[in-house]
Amino acid sequence: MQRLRVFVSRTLESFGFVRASRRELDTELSEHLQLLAEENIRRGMNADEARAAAHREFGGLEQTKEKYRDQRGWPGISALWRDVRYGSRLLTKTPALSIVIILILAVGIGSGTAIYSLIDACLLRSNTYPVVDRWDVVRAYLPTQKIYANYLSTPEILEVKQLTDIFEDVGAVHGDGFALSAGEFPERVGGTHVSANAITMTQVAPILGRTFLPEEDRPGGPLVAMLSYELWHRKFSGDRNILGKPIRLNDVTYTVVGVMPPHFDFWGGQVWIPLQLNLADQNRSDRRNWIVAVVRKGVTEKQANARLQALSMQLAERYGTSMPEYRDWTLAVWNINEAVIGGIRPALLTLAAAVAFLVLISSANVAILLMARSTARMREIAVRMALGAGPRQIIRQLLTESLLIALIAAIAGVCVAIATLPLLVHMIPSEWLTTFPELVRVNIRALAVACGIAGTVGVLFGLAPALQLARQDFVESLKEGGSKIGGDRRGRSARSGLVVAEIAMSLIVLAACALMLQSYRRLQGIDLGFRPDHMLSFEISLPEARYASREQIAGYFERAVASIQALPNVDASGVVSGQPMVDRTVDLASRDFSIEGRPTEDAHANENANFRIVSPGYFRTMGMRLLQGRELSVQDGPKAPLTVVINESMVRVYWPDGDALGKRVRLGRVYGRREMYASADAPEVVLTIVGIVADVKQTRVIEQPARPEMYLALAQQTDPPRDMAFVVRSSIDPTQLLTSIRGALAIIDPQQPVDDVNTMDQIVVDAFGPKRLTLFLLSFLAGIVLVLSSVGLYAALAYSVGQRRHEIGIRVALGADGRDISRMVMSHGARLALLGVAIGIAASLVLTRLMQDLLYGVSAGDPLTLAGTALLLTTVALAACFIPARRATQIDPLAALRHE
Amino acid sequence: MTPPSGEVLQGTLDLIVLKTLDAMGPQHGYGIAVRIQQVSEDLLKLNQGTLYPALLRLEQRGWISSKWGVSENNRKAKFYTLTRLGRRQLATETESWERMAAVIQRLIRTQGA
Repeated sequence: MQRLRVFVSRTLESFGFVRASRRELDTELSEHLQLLAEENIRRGMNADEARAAAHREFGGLEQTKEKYRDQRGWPGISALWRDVRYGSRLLTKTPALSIVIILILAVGIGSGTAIYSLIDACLLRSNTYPVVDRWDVVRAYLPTQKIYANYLSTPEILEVKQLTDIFEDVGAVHGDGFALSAGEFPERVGGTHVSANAITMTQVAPILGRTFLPEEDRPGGPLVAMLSYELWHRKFSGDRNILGKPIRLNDVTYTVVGVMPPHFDFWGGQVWIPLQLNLADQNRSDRRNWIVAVVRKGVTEKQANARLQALSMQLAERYGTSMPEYRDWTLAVWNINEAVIGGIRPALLTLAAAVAFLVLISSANVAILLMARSTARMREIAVRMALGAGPRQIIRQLLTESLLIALIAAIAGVCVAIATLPLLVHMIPSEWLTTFPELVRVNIRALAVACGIAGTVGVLFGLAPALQLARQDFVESLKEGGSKIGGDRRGRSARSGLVVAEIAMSLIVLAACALMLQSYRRLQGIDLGFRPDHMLSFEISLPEARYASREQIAGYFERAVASIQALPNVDASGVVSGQPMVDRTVDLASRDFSIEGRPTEDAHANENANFRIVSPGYFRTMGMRLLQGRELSVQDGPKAPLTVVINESMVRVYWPDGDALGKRVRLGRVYGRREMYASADAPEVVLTIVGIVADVKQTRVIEQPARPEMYLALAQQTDPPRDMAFVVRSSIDPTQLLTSIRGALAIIDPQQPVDDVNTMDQIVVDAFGPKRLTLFLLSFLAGIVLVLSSVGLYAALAYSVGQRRHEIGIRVALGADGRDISRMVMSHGARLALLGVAIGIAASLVLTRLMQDLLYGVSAGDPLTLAGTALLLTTVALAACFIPARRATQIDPLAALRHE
Repeated sequence: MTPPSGEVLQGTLDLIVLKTLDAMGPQHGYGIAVRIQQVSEDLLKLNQGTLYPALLRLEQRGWISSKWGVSENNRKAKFYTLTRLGRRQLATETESWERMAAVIQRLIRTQGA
């Protein structure tokens, strides 16, 4: 009790919560002395004697005060507080310098953290469930076709499920889309068929209701659905009584049993329904589901893959004869994060490296400034030591000051990060963001690291003068002051080293940015193989309930194309089984084939090409170039001989002599698109090549070369897909056509929703989105880096000119004119800049190679780009030298010499 | 023979101050110092400055409290008062002091005999 009371009182005092105490003590003591003196006067002394005697009787006034103060609070803390106050007084004594140091650190910490947070939220963490690190897809690699098969059959799912030693749980899913009838018009929403355990496996619990029960996951089981939080809010206004209520998906009624929490992004779906897999299904070639699995804790990817490979070999042994695809395929795990961000890893690494360089450069800058400042304070420190301050006190003092700077900068940096992040998010078009904007938050870890680096730099370089003092005789530094001729050699070479390092790092970041800019330009100038202008595109997904037969499906699309074509201002229209430049990977729907007349004794001779199903008008609408033969036309009907148009890449690979026309290909197995699997067991079909078209960029991965590709006629499909994309070419602004198109389609089927309406120009712009985002962030970083390194160079030179005032004064006195002086300073700066640039070029030759995957049409060591970057940086650096050089010429020799 | 040092024994200053305040009621620092000197007939050599850290210590422990008031010369002065806790403390310390003094006295006499 007693101790606590003392503790509380002292602690409060330590931080100055009990204010005015110092003045109170002064008043109290002076009153005491006054009374003593008055008493002495009464005894007959004169005033001066009385006061002196009073002081004698009282004892050491200052000691009393000191002792009193120490006892008031905790001595350490009180001293710290004193140092902090002293430190802040010093900071405010050179406000410009302090503000610059703090600003640089704050910008470094803040913008670095903001960008890293953005990278982290957008690119690293599109998936957010707790088990995401162990959440894998199991897929098969087919070496002969050089493709991955993501869809697997029911027996295969069950076989993987049996590997309980490596997998905690195994589920199956496939993505789909539904026409959700709620409100006036049906709307298409993404949905996923999931096995009962798939959602539970993510270890995310629903916020309302429950996940699926095993009995709901059996064929013929009850039709139930779970909703995403977003869909629940948007379509059902967050109705808490939604459970048990019916919703209509593709004209079928489902009962809502649960709602998932916000931001639960599972297979891109907004609604989930049970997969209802028939476990008795023995058909191994009916592959229509993805396998998802949670790997056991502690099981490595290598162990899992080894186990899967053993299973693949068993399958090859057992079924290899009847099913050739088993002979050399290998099952392997694919982490879901890897699946999502794998393609953008080079961009991530480049950006993260640029952020790291930014933080390093701002730290180097601060180091230069702190060193300059503390060298200037050598004299003051020496005086304080001469007056009796011990080295520990001095070091504590310097440490407090540096930490104070680091602390203020860290707080300012947090503010910068908090302020910049929403700005950045705002500047980025929402479709480039791969996450929910509200999930982009300041990343605490990044902030901590950045602050840590900044703090360490502050402390290290703030302490430098103290360490220097410990090395040298302080009397020496008292005598010479901070203005020895030529300055302190050590400090100078350290500063020069830092400047050189800064410029070198800036060059790397600038070079990376320039390379990115170059390759972006090339990409934009790339030949897409079609003309995206004046084009509208949208998707139609026919529900199975109303469109069951081949005739119904093909009939709808034919009529729809014809009626759109008849609209005014429409030049051409067509449908295709997959919109170009929407898919993020090259693994599109593909099909094995063999060429008639060539030896096919071995199943390994199976060739593979992507395929698209199109209506006759498709090529003309897209503006694709016909190279040989003819396009598919109305004459390629269901009863006519089967025909195919192929792209030039397919010709190049399989008919290098260019004699493809008239040749016949036999189609085999289908990979990739679930909705096209129905034909897996269909009899083999033989097609005649009637035309060759130029390659078209079909995916968002624009820089990838086109795969061999086949275009099949919609009218000749025995099982045409229900999901098709429309393309419409118009003579006017294509968005103006939308109303009339909707009207025309409503006549054919008023219940049919139209989805994903976009101009083709917009689709192309979106396809460049991630690249532009990278470029945007990189340019942002490069700009800051350029400014920071110029400031660093400027500061180092300006300081060195200040240090050499005396020397410059002597030089001028001995006859050097302004030009000599400015040349001297400029050449000093230029030497540093050029050395930095040279090191930077050497380093970026090594480092930019790491971003080669990110580049298109420009090599990582592109000499022109590097030279341009070097020139830019040198120019800016020389401009930064100019001001100190000018200032040096203005030094008045008399004043400089008298200054001593 | 060395003259009696007259230094205040460590720890006894607290007791002296408490006792003084008990005897005189609220008093400022100077008053306490004067009173100590009067009572001890100047035998006790007190560096008056040391009184203040002691007063602070007593206050931190809650044995005395302080309040600003007006001195006899009509100037601001801080007056210290014994608290209830202090009064109790004074009793304990007096008792232990007396016991201690008695022990020491007995010790010295026995040794002397």
